[in-house]
Amino acid sequence: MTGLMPGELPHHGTPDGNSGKSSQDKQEESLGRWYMSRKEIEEHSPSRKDGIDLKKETYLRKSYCTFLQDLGMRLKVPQVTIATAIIFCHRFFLRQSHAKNDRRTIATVCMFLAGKVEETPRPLKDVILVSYEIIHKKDPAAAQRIKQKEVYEQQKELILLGERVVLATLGFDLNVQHPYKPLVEAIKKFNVAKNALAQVAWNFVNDGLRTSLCLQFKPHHIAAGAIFLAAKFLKVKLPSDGEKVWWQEFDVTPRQLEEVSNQMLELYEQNRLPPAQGSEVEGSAGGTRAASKAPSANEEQASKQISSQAPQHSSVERTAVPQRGTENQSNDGSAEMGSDITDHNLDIRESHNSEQLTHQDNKREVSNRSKSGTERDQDRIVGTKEGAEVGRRDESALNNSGSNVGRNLERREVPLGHSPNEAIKIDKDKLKALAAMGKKRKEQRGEMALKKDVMDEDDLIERELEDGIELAVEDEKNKRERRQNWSKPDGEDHHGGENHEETRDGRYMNMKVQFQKDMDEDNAEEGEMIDDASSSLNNRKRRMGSPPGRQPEMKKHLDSSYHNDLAE
Amino acid sequence: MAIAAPGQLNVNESPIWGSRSVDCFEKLEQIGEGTYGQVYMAKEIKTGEIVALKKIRMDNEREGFPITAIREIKILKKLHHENVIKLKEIVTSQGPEKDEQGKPDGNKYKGGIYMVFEYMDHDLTGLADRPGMRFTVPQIKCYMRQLLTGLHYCHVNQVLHRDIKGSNLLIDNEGNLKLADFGLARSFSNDQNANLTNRVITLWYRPPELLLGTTKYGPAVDMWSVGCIFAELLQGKPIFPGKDEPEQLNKIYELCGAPNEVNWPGVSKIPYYNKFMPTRPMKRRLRDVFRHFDHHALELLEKMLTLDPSQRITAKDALDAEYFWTDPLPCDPKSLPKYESSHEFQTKKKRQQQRQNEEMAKRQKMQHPQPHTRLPPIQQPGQHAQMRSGPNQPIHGSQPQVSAGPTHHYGKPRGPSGGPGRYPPNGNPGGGYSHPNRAGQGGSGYGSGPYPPQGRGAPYGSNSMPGGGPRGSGASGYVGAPNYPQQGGPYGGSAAGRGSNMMGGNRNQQQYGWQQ
Repeated sequence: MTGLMPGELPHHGTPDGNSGKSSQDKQEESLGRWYMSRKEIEEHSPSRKDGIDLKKETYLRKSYCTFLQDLGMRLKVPQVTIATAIIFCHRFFLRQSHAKNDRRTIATVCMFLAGKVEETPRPLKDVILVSYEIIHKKDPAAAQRIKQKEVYEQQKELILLGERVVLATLGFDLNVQHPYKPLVEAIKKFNVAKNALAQVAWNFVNDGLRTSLCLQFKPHHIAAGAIFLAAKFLKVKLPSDGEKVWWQEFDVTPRQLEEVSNQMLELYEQNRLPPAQGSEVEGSAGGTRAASKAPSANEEQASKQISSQAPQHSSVERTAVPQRGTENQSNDGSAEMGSDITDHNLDIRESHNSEQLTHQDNKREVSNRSKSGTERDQDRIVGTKEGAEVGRRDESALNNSGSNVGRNLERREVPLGHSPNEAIKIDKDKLKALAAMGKKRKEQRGEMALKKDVMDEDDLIERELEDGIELAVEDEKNKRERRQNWSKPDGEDHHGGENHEETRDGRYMNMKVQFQKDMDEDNAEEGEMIDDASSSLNNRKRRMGSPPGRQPEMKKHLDSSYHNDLAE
Repeated sequence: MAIAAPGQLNVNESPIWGSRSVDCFEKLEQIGEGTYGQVYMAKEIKTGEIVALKKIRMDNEREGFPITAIREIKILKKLHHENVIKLKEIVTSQGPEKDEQGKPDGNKYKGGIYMVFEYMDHDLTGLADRPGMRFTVPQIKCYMRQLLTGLHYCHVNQVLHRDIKGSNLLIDNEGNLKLADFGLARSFSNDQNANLTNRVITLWYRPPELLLGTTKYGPAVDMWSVGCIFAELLQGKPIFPGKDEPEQLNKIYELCGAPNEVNWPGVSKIPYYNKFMPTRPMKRRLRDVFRHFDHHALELLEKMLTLDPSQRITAKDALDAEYFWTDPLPCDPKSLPKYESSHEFQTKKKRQQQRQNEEMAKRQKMQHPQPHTRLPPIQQPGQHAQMRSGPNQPIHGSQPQVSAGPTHHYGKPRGPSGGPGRYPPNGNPGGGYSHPNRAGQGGSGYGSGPYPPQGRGAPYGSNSMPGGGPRGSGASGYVGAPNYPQQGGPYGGSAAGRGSNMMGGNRNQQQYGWQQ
């Protein structure tokens, strides 16, 4: 587990202390230009200046993150490479506008570049083919079109030109560090539920990549937040050595820990507030369980019928039912389920965005309204935070005290072994964590929201129910198409003839496999074996020892090399 | 405003926070050239600062920005030390450029990309080759200490340089020495699980474990190269000037003895151990051959040129050697005399010399040594003296200095000092090169070599020793025929071992060009 990214981190143990400090200072200097406050990111991004509002940019960010995760898994690169590509993309759009740069082209370039940076290079041809198929997954002819020489050459020129743009925009800052290494190193010191804790925290880190956290906080801060949330999720008590608390080893302040945790949690709250989405998620999450599928369908139909009659009270009542189902599912599931839920929702929007132009406009309109609800809720939360004056802080403190009292009453059996300040802060986080994944909190919050804005929410709910149903149908089609596309280019794809549930399971397994790979030092090193020149003997050995997934790539490389020799 | 259309890129804007344009610099003179790329002396227009611009060659546009350049940039952005060359920034040019012949270069994607380095007046090879140049003992100690300090810093930060040679050691007019050209450098992990290429390090400075084909190695490979440099500074010429891998190994065995399981446990498991079994027993003769060296220097050299990499001295331990702590002590870098700029690649005249030497090499292809008629009497037979045609023309931006040797000597000078005139390419032109080798080869510390992109360069192994010393070299082991290139080699079959980053392509053409 040690040395997850070998050689990637600088060591400052030079005999000359001054030299070491100087080196560290310069490192900080270089890294410093890629960190800024959330306010700056949200209010002064280049896209904002070009008229793209915050909610659309947030959507676009999730869109290219989902794209990169999909692209990376199909190219069979380790998670670290995907993470590097995502960070390159975040940094690019920190400096350049979505109005002037196609996010999928930039994302493809970032994956191509990250492959080389992380010593897991993929041939440009493969990157182009797989990217093109993902971008045009609704188009059955795309898989064939990209193989025409003119189309391919055009894409190639685009990507190579894009690489120059990305490199220049990033200032050739190619050294990227990730939370994975500090996360693994820290958890090794714990004696509690290591594997489960690492797995859940890892998933929080992966999901957090979709946010702008990595533009605000350093990797070890994000690692600390992920461990904190994972412990809450698993109800594990993290060790404290006397007066020293576990997070102090991360050189992280309580404020940073709180901020990172809250922003990670926002990701899940956003995805669960719309009831229609909840129903959709429940249906998909059910997988092969027909029993859970049927009730979901019935509920949707019932809700629709009742909504058409437009009785307010009935709508409110019906809205609660899917939420409860969703929360039940969440209670049973794990963070992995959380990851999948997030992926699924983003897939819907992805397919939505792939529509033709006419539909695109309409869909975007619907999407904007859909996000509008989420955004309004966000504004409410943000307003509460940012608008806090001295008096409001006192009120907030009182509220916290009230919550604290309530929670103590509810969970008398769970002792809180923290100092008063920590109790307040951590309880607040517990509230948010439970709000994201807990049954009761979700209900209460939902009810309060609905009570406050019954008129607006009612209209939104109706639209989202219809929209959800439509998106569900489209999603079904898209998954079939994707399966077909997937099976065509690579004859060795074993998922070709299987249904979409198993495809989803396959992706799930990929995530786990990648987790194992990234955790396993030997596997991390394996990427270097492919691109290092060596004698034929060693080459043969490596080929025999390569995991099955890498055989085709090795073959391609050798064939390509042989072809080049002939050409020369 | 709507989001960007599919395929739209913002290629026109030059944001202030991205990379600057190369137009911020005025190219003054080319100071390096080779298969890796051109190196220019340049001036920043706004500040007047003199820098070195190293163009990143985009030979293999099929895979975009070269992975070797990515490695170099990543490594240089992490290393900050007074004995490691500083990468100041990376700049780009907007439009298609023209190479030195005026043709548009093959790069059709928005022009060139340059690494901007601090300017250094000399490289060690160019300095050592200056007519009449003789390094004093304190001077050699000063350079060696800086080299080891910089290298230790690299190793502590888990970076292997993998191309240490005289032309990659840059020296400024303040006497500071810096490691340069990290084009073959590599991050390594301490667990020794990674398989790394064994086709790195210029042939004359390549350690035996790489020549025998190991792919698991560490910082010890750099220390062998340092040992070769050290001996070269003391001896005045390269000590292992082989022309191909078998000859390189044989030269090592002749001086350091043949490896066996006693002096190098585990050596018999290295792939080519049996293939290169010496034909006769060979004992270690280093102490005999260099018995005229200072005692402490010889002691340190022994440990640097240890066959077994696990027993070879580290940079850190070398810095603690008695050699650096006994009189005469290393001198203060600033006390060194100012020299006129000396880069191995410099002027047209040098090119003319190369052509003349090339013709001479052809005439002597039958390997009959013909001593130069102007050879000083103390030089060994078979050596070739190249008389340089006066000092180089003054360089803009640098203070012209009268060429002069050191103003005084500390202690007794030992043997002539000087260096090799040229380096050979790695391995054999007709053999199985690994392309990362070539990516970083070059005669200049900024990464360019003395050879033009096409055709054959100067003959290998020529030395320049015009000054001579009061005592001739006692290296009887060097008596013999001069070294000439041979065609073909034993590694024809290893071409299949090329790396997967597909850096072949044009590089193959470069490679085949050597055969012409």
